[in-house]
Amino acid sequence: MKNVRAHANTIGVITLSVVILVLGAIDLFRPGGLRFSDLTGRVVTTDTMIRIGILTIVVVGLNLLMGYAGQISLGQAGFYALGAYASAILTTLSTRHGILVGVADQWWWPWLAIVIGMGFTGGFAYLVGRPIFRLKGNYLAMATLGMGIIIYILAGQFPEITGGYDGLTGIPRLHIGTFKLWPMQRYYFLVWGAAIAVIVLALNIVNSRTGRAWRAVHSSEIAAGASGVDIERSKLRALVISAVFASLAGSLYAHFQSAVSPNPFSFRASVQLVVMAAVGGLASIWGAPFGVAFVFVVRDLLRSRLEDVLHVRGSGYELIVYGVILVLIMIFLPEGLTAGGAKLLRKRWRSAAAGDP
Amino acid sequence: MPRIPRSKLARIAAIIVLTVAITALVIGLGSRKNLQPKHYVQLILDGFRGGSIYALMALGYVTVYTVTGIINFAQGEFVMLGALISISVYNMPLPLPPAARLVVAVGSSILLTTLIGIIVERVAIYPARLSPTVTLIIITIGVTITLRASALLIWGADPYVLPAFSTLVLEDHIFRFGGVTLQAQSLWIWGTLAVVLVLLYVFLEHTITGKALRACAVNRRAAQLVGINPSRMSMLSFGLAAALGAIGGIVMGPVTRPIYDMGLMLGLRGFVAAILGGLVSAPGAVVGGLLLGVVENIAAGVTNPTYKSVVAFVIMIGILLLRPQGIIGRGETGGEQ
Amino acid sequence: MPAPLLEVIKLRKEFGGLMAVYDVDFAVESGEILAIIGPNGAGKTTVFNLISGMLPPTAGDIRFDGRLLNGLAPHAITGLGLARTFQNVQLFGKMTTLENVMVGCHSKTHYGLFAAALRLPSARAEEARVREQAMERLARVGLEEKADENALSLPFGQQRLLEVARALAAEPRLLLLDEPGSGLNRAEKEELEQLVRTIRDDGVTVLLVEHDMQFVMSIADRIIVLEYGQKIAEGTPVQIQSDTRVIAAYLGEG
Repeated sequence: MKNVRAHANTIGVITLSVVILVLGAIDLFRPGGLRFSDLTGRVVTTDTMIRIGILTIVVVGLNLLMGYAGQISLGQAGFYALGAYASAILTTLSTRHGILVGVADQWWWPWLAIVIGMGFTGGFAYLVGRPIFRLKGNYLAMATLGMGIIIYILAGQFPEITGGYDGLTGIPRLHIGTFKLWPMQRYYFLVWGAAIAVIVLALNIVNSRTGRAWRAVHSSEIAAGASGVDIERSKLRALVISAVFASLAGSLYAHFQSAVSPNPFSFRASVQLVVMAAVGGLASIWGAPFGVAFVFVVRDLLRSRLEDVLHVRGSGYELIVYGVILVLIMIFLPEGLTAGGAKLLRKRWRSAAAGDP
Repeated sequence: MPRIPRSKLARIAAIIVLTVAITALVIGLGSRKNLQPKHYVQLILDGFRGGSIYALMALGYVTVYTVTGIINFAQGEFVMLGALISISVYNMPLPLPPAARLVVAVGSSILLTTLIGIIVERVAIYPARLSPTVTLIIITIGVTITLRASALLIWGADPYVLPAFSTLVLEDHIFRFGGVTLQAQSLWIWGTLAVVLVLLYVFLEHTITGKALRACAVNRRAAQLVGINPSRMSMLSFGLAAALGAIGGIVMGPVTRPIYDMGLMLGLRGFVAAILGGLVSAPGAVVGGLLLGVVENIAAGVTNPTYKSVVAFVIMIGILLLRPQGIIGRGETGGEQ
Repeated sequence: MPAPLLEVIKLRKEFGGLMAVYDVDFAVESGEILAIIGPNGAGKTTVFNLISGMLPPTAGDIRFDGRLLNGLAPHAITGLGLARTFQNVQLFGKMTTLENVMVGCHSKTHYGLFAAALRLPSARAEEARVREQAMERLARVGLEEKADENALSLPFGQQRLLEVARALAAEPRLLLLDEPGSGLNRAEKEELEQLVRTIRDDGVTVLLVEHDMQFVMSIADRIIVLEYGQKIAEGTPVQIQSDTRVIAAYLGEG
């Protein structure tokens, strides 16, 4: 039993990888004309799966920040936007501005752009976080909120650089040499490969001295400081990691859509990310993909079914449901739907077993 | 003559240099748009109008924060509810003259919003009061989403309008002097702010409940030990914050076009005003609100209206980074345990 | 005579006009067990908080091994070899006993984020070493059996011991114990006394704040008495027991 627990993460990673591979293979080879979306009654398509994968990367970062380091970011969509725009701007340099012709057309350039974006976003997060973490209390929430909104507004300005409210189009697909990571069925593997890699990295960090320091800080800052943990630095690390992950996801999003505009990076997007993290469980890396998937499925179901049943445009109801879910989960299942739910079931089951004569 | 320490002198010098630089920048930008002194007066006047609303909202933040330690993201939604409820009541076919309808609308809107504030506290905040801050913040976000979406369902996505208080039609009295205009509604707004401040002062200083609330804000545990019920105080603070928000929403109804999603941006500005004032001080909140209104109006006036909200957030980040105790606050920034 | 390990010079702390600590001087010699005693509110814990960097002093100097500690953050002070425990036990909840002690090793571990994220051999080796050392510290206080239990599920006496183990994990040269005996029964106190002695015998200097006179008199080499934030006496237990000002202070309180 103890052995199983010790290897739970390894087993989890393998299981997730296999599931992802099988699902991807179905869509790639279409055995007997079967498509992946047929399995889910058209609710979850390959497109949805890719979006879930991309946002899983962001939410894993948020998990580290909120669940482990105990800091809340209400501007994660801003970091996500920085990554997306870094990729979008850098990969369209030669077509839009005629800069770096010959370099920016190479297959490796977009990959380099992703890395540059991650570096830039991480550095930016560092600059925002450094002064904030000198303060006690949850000022990060406010600072990131303001930062997110500023990024969103500025993205809609400067048409020369960001394309203004219309955004940028013509972002190239990713290649490895001459192998194109497109159509979608191929891109799916890249996105989920990245998502699984991020999950593995996050699990490793959580189980290292850094992860222990986060949990210690979250539990008692006084005792953590006295145990030799640099509290500011520790929180700053979590923020920078989460920003770098968000940036990576943003880049993957840009190459998936082949276009970016300010719209998907609003305050609402940041809130949605927090909802996903909360649903999956704030301190649960494994909860991240479930939280994202849950919100996607609920949203899609609400959108399509509510209209059928109530004959109204769903967006209002959908938002109410979000809000109520968020409040209910935070009050009754603060560990998230996965961990909290499992715990609740276990308790039920145990009390039922105990009640048996 | 008292000796002034050198560091203090340096700080004063820095402030003077900064002020001069900003003034020069504003005038420089303004001259490119051919702004004359009367335009600045106009910008400042309008800034005070917007700032009064921020001040009311900032008071709401401060009330809830000092009593419960929670930053209530839903504060802006109370403003929205106040505005939209008053409009709906006003538009009901009551057999009353318009002035009386307005009074009924105002009264019922404040009452209903207060009730909603209390319900929010009882249903969503109180059960989770022992949770970590992260959880409580997320809960108030959940409340925000729920309230906004409910408003969308009730009122739809179109803006509404409340008649001006003086004329009871859309067209307001406008005073003009020397090229500067002033709407009568501005006077209503300032008057309301003044009355609210007086009432708040009387309530906090001269009633038992008010004193209990203040005691709770100073030290929750000690207040509990002398028999003050923290649960009641928490509920009261949300009710009070909701009422303050509603009042702000109602008086600004005639000068803006209330819409279901107005709460977010307004709420954030109210928050900026609150931290400008140090987040724990009522006078600070009022000064912060007025200041923010003026600064953001001038900034938008000399540049471009789209930057209006950017200004608020730039100020917020600047304050958090440089003077987290607020511009008029002093003392330590939570260095003590 | 060698320089003292810790030197406190004219230390002062003011809380809103109230002098919690007023011009206190003392020195801790290497290898001794020094106790600070005094009535409630005498400023004992404040002195601890000032030394360990939890509070900034209003005035005065604190030197550790010749180095000025003023203005250093708590973690930096711990890194220099000065660890502490708390009057009201501060353990990390939701973490096991072993993990609590492993956090204590933080300042003695260095592998970076990259090594951690990729589980490089350097990280694994250090992690294994930390685990081993933490187990050793747990064994030291007799809690090795409880390594995998949640820290907060331990009985109170063991929680105190766990805190000592966590502080020891930082390999301190000076250990600050804030009321280590409070909440313990007689048998547990004797056990604690034994532990503190062996810690000292291993070369760790001990500075402690304590209420229980009997405990202090039997364990301390020297004693400092504080009253209203000021030092009123200093000496061996025998000297302190016959000091008229100390007797007055304690009688006055009782």
